[in-house]
Amino acid sequence: MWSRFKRSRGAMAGLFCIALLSLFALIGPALSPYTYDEVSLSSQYLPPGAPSEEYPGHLHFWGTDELGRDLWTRVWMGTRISLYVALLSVLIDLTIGILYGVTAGYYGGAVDLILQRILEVIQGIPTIVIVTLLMLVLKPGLVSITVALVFAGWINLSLLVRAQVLKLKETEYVLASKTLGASDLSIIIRDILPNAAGQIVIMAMMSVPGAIFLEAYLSFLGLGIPDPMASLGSLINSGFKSMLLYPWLVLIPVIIFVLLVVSFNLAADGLRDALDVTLGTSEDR
Amino acid sequence: MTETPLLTVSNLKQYYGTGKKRVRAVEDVSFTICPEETFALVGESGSGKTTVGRTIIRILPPKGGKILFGGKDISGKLSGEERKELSRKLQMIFQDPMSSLNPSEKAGDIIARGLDIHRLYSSRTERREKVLSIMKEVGLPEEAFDRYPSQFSGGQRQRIAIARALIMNPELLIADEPVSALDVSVRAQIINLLKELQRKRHIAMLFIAHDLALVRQISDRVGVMHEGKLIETGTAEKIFGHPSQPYTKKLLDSVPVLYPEDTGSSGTGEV
Amino acid sequence: MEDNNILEVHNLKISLPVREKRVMFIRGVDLSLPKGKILALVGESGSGKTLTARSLMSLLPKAARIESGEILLKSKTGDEPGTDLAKLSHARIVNTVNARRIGMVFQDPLTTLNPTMTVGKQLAEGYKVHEHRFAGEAKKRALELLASVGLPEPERCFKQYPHELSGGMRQRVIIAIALSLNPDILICDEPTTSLDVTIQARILELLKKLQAERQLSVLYITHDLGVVAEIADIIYVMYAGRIVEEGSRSDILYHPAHPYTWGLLSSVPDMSFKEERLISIPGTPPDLSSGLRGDPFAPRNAWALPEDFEEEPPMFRLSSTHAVRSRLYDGAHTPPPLPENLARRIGNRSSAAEKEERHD
Repeated sequence: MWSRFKRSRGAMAGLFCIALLSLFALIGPALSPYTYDEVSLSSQYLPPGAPSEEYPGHLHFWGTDELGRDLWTRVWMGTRISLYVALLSVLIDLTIGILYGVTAGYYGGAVDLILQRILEVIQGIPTIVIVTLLMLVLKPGLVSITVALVFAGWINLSLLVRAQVLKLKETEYVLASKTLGASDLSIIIRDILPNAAGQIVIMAMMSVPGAIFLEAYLSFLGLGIPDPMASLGSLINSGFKSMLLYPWLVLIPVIIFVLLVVSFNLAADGLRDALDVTLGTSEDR
Repeated sequence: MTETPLLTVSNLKQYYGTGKKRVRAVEDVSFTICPEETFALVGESGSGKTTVGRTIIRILPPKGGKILFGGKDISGKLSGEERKELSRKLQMIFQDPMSSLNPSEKAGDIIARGLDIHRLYSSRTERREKVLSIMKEVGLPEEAFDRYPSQFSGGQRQRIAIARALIMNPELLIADEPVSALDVSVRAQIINLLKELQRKRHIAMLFIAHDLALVRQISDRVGVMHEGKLIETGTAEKIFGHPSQPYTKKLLDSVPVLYPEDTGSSGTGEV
Repeated sequence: MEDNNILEVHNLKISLPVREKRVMFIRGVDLSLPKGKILALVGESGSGKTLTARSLMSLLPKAARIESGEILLKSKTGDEPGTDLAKLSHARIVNTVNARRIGMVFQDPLTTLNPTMTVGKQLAEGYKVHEHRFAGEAKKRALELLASVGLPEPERCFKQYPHELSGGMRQRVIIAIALSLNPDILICDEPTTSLDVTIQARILELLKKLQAERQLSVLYITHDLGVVAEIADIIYVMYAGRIVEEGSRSDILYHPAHPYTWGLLSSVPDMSFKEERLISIPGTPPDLSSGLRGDPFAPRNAWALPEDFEEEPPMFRLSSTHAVRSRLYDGAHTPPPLPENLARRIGNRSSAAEKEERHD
């Protein structure tokens, strides 16, 4: 499988980009002497590469914003948020999504009927409405984004898992396990999940760009990460206001954001091709 | 035969669907199987023969009638314990060895599944030894233990499926078209293996098939199914030599034969 | 007799990629299909019989490549030397050969038909694409054709969708479609494997009838020797990408020469007699991708000679119709007698059956 993944150049580029961005998200802020919320009114709107006033010998790699905060530090802090959201969405997919999908698909009947109706109700409420309502209870920030993802982020995966389970539970090897006296749990763990794993992993990867985008979108609308914390979405939002005068304030976070989303998409595509046996070399006569 | 039968099926009924769309799959089927005997159910697709097999092993709950196995009624609702107990005495081989083996498990683990479920070993070594000995019995090489189903030929896969069923030491084996997905030359190998294992282990067998020539080679008694009903039962000699039902005759005449004189009449009879 | 062949394949070699390496799956096949005869190509799965048949209609998988050889299709009148299909482009074959000269019937009747179109539409479609006829005329001919393949109510069938028909009726529709443009050759790839025996018997009968009526030449591909015995005039036995024995029906059934043919015949169960043990061919077919040395059947062959493990034997002619790829018949060796069980089955019947055949 790995060898087939390696053969896809796009997927490898995607994986490399994700690794690089993660590395910088981790060490980037430490490479500069500034913190993400350090205000310096004497160095507003410095262009990229400008020397620092407070810390002689240091540069503002990517310039500063309207409050003189270092953009390099803020962008990498924002990337951290995006990656946190990515990780969170995968985790949610793999826990809630699988549990919900397996229960609905395997037990079927009335259980399935009730679970699917609940799901349709949740699906019917736009995420933006959920988050706006959450604002009444919670302050905008990471917590509300997390809650929004937990609330609705797993729906697509649970639908996929349900469909896979419905298909796999009718296979003859599941019947064979039943005739051997296997319990439901043993059938799910040994016969069903391993054979759906490929699809599940791909789907979880595919949901990552969507989750990153959701966070950026909420922050852009002012419903996400509040100042002075930064996320890629909120950086783009504030940079966007002075785009014509100080283009780097919006360009740099946009480039990083696009790189991140495209990389995840490419890697997910590569993973799908590597796992999909029907696309592989068929041993045709 | 005066022996007490191992399996007695009486007036078995099975339907698919509900309400007005209900389709009768099996209607009032009754037969018995004695210990160590091979009873063959033959019929065309849609005759209900596979449904009978799946109902006996309780993949499908019967909608009517009685199934007595080893003197116990197994046609009612079974508790988890009863189901487990039944699975040690009653086993099944499926038609297509491509789809009856879990593609993501190694052959050794597939065969050991029954041992795992019923905790029939005290150590990993014992588990492995039990699996290896049954693999030897069905003619699989030792190195097959760590290979995946996709790395085997059709015949070898069916051997894995047979080993998986036999490791439970069943009293009755249901073989649902066990060779129809295989090449002709491999079919003979698998049929020989089944005959040999049956003799050695004293297993009774319900052999479900549409290939009458094969049935001739393996069965003691034969039941002919047509549109959900069992229309004729008798010893293999009687069914193949002197069938009483016109449908049985038609079925026998349709079998293509190598040497037309084999059956005394031309294969492509007027039907 | 040469002139009488409608199709000749010479030294055909076809390769497919396996793990980034090209592997020869058809390793030099020679085949002649005489006009108006049914030729059965028999082999186990993986022997290359399907690949060979598909190469005739340019239906090979994309990765496959014809490495060498020619596929000569004689013209209808038979006076020209014939076209080499191996050299024609895919488009040329699809437009001028398929359906017009060669029709094909596939194994699974359900996947061959388009489930969203009525039978009539699928039939008429063929005419419109190929002969630019008007719908009215096409319909008339389509109805005639449906009646000729033994469908009881052609008018009704014309309006039905494939899922409304039984398996046997679907296969009849497919045969009708294959015959719609009056091809001279019909290729049948295991057309009855997915059908019940009673239906199979009727389809075989239909094929025999059509073959006689239309002077069709049929290439019938199967692994079931029982079916072959019912239908074939000429039999080719294929193993690991090569023909190992060829001959008339009585040559192969009553005087089989190659040990592989013996094995195939013996493994067909006998209806009249219960044997203690069925005869089977030991071992499994070779993995062509791991390289071959000598005769690929030698490891499974109880009669293999030492030189068979070194070099593949050539074809030896036994009679004008019968040839076999085995050194047992090179003149220097005494061919072994038939295996006991096979000799018993063939027994005295052969003489009677052969007499019958000469009468035909």
